[in-house]
Amino acid sequence: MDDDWKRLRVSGLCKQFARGSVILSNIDLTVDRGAFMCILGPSGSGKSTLVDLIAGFEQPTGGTIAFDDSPVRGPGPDRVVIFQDIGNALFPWLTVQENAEFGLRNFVRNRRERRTRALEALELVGLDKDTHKFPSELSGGMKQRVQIARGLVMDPHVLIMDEPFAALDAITRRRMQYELKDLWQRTHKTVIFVTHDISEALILATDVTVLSSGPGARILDTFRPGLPDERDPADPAFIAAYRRVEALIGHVQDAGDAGRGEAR
Amino acid sequence: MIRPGRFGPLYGILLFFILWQVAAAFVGTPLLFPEPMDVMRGLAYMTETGELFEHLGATLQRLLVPLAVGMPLGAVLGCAMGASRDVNAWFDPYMRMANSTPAIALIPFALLWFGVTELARYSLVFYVGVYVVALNARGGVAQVPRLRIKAANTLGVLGASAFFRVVVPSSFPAILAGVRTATGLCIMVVVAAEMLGAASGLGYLIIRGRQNYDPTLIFIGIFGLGILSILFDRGIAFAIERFMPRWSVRRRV
Ligand SMILES: Nc1ncnc2c1ncn2[C@@H]1O[C@H](COP(=O)(O)OP(=O)(O)O)[C@@H](O)[C@H]1O
Ligand SMILES: [Mg+2]
Repeated sequence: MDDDWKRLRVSGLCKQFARGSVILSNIDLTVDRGAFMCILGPSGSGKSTLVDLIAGFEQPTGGTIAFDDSPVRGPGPDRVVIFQDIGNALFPWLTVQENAEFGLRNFVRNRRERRTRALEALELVGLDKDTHKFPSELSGGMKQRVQIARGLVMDPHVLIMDEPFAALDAITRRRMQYELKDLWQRTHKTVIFVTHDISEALILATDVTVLSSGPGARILDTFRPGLPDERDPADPAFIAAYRRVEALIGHVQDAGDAGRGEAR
Repeated sequence: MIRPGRFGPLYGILLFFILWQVAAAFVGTPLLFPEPMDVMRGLAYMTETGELFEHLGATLQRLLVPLAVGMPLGAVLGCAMGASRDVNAWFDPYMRMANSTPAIALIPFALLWFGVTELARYSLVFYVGVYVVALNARGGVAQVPRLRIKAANTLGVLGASAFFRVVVPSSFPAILAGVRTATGLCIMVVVAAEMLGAASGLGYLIIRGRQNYDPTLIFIGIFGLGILSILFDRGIAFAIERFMPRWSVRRRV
């Protein structure tokens, strides 16, 4: 895989499951290298379907997904997904360290190198003291940190996170958001972050894409919130951005044909 | 949750012996219902002569030898059935048949084919070991959370690699449940087979007691079966704890 990629481009993406309704229609999305792209949409709008397509778990009915000009094919460690389901995403018979090393086994011959790389990633998420623990001994927040470390270890082009904090309690969730933000600022890893939580998106994102509710979800708007590095939900600019997204989603819900221009 | 008192089981056993003594005194016919002390004496005698261990050992061997071969084979077969539609289609009818036929009903068959031999008993236990573990293993493979496989795939672990590194280990708890079920069933089968034709074993002891009007022997045989069950139960628990601690009950995979 080409390491000099500049952007991940999703164009004209459509998805319809066999004999089902159209889930996604004509999705265009450009994620620049180093960006933190939040995909925001109500539950059932097809966010996870979009993640499955980008990750390569599902084949699109139409359209393309490519790093610059090389299309992605099937799942692979250049697009690691972080899943919402805290209970099933980790391998419960493996320790934290072994979970973090899991993907390296097929790519890194040297055992010591695997250990070191996994440990580095665990350090990044603050779990280097818990390497010997099993997932059943970890809190929800810690489990998600292991998942993030397990993904970072692979040094993916993009880290795709599908509502990773949705199953956490509100306090842990907020803490994880700021930790992730910090992590991103240190690594500048490209992130696609899916959420239905507007303030979560606005705390994290450099770019926001808003999906309409399904079926047949389409993109309502893509914008850069242009907020300062240190995000404060009480900041007037933050509130303005929040309102804007709310209006965008609200319009669709009551009128159905609210113009995109009006929301801008 | 009920907390067992320190001497809880002891009281239970004591109560059991008292009730037994009372009942035996009430029946008053040692030929039908021996008193605890008679059984204890018989037990002590058979322990001294080593006869008890001979029979216990005979039954134990008839379980261990065929299970040691049958259960791993069942695990492999079940995993293969879970992994491949084709393999499943080939073997599923036999699994259904095996599962709906009480194994005990096959004993006369085995004795007819192989005669009153070790082979007859081995083949019965082997058969039960294979199909019970295979059924559980297949169920275990089918129930692996799809997300776990996706998690492996996104890390670049695909296909056969994902199967052996994720699906098989995920199925271990189901396979171990199968091992427990299989041993329980096999104890029943092997005892029944010994009753229908054998010159040693706990089942033989029980049937000899019946034929000689010596109920003490029957009781000793039953006592021996209790020991056997505990031996297997503890043995399996120990083996898991010792060799696969990651799948021990404490760890709840
Ligand atoms: N494999 C599938 N087959 C058929 N329909 C599906 C499948 N996966 C998801 N869907 C449907 O697609 C829609 C969007 O689901 P999803 O992508 O999970 O939404 P979100 O993640 O935004 O909540 C839902 O209506 C769901 O029922
Ligand atoms: Mg979803």
